[in-house]
Amino acid sequence: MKRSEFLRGFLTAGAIVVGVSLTHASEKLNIVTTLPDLKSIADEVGGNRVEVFAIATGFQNPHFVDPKPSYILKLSKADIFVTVGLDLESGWVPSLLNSARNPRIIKGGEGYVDASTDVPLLQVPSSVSRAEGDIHIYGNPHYWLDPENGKIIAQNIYQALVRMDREGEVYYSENLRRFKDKLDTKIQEWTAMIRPLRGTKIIAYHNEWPYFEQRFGLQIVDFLEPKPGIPPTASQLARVIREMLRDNIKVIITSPYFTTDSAELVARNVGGKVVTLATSVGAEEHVRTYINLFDYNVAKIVEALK
Amino acid sequence: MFSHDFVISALKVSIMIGLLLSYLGVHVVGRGIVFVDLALGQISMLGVAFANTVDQDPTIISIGFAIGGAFLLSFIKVADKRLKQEAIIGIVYAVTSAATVLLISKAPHGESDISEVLFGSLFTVTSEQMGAMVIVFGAIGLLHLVFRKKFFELTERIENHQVEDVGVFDLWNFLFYLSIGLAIVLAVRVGGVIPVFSYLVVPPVSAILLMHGRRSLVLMAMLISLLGGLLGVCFSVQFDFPVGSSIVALLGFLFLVAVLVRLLVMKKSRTRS
Repeated sequence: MKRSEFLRGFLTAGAIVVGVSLTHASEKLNIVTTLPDLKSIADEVGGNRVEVFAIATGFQNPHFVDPKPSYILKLSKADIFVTVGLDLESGWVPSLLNSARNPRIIKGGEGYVDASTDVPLLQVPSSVSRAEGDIHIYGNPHYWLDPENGKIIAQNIYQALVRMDREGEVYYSENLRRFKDKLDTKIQEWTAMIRPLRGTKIIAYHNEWPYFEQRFGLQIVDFLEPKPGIPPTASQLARVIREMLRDNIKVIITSPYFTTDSAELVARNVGGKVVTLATSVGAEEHVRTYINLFDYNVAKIVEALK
Repeated sequence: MFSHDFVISALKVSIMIGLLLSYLGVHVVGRGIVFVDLALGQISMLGVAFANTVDQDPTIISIGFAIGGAFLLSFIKVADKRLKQEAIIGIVYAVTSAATVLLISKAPHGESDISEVLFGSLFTVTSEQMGAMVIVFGAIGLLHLVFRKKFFELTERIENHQVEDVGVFDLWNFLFYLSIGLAIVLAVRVGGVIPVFSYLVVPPVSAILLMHGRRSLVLMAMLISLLGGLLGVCFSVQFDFPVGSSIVALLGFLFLVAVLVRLLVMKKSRTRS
């Protein structure tokens, strides 16, 4: 009796040890990101040691995501969770994390990555009242649209990878370096393409391009939305039309998840055009990686402004 | 499938919402006021918009608005046979929707706050929300269980257009609207507008197709709502769909089944006679 119990205990312990070491050897780190852009960067840094899943798609407005069961399941098994942070996903991330009950990836947990850490933020409101009509109290959250910030995001993800998987440190740091180098080369290429257009005035539908604008020297003078998140009003459209005629502005940039009716209306009135840029990886078929995202947007804007 | 906490809490919540709303729905359908749900939902949305403009806590203000709205709606009595209460409720819905849009357009933070406060998913219900629902739904359920005669008498009188003998302010009528207002505000915040509307309307209507007596009607409505919730949650988990729309789709399916059963029964009784 005693012996069989001992034997059983021994076998169980052995099985656990074997099981643990097996899963350790074969299983990759599970990473869940909110946006596909973060997934692309996590793929670059994590390489073949990670399995990355992005919750939102590239053609979806990241402010609104309807939870599906699979999101919660993936989050409950995740080792690392990467979020854009600020208040971009505040409508759906806290409740998803709450339902996933995974202590590793809750705010402050080892596997929680706020990708905005160390990013120099734009449009941080100076007054607490928010009366100027800014929904983003921490600053504009669309910071991944500046490729320089892609390097900071990569750095943040790298740190979490090393925290969770020490053995991979050398591999990850090599990947990180390669990704940063690649981005640096590309940034030079993109800025060279856009240089002749520096200072060109354009109009945007929603206030999500300040980082892109700053990096590439464009000048967004107004928005079709009178306030972020509020559909264009008649007086706002009239104002934009006046501005476009006065300053000879020809291009309105918008995103895949907004209707282009009002932008088209304004463009018809001033003889300009509407350019739908990709706000995220996956917004268009060819935009498969973070680097593609800027290849696509830079080419598109250069062509439109030519 | 049932080993995950979030699936279990979704099931629990769908049972709570289903039982209470399908019961209240029997009254709502009987009185012919199915849009009361959308109107009250819109009134609480107006509350959120208002809270935004005056920079106050949206939760409390939206509940306050819903209670106030329920109070006002309980005064609607239509003696004129050419009119139905529904028409007045429709006007309330349209005007409060417009007022919400007007308020939002001048509010500083736009639409996103509103949707954050008002629309949830059954999968992301918090334990606080669950606790609040147990207390409020339990209280409403108890009230209606104890005074079921009063509530049904009132509904039948309104069904038969005998509103003359219902006073200008009728306590039971107010309590009925208060129950609906509270139930809907809480339910919408965890379930979303369309699922809540469906829970209120589909089970009673399907039950009316199948049953006659009041008691069997209520029980059948509750059964259909439980079935719709259970199947909807399973469907959503199995095929990875948003849960609210899955439940609505399955309730719709059950309604179709009820229609078919009713047609078969009618055919049979006709051939028999």
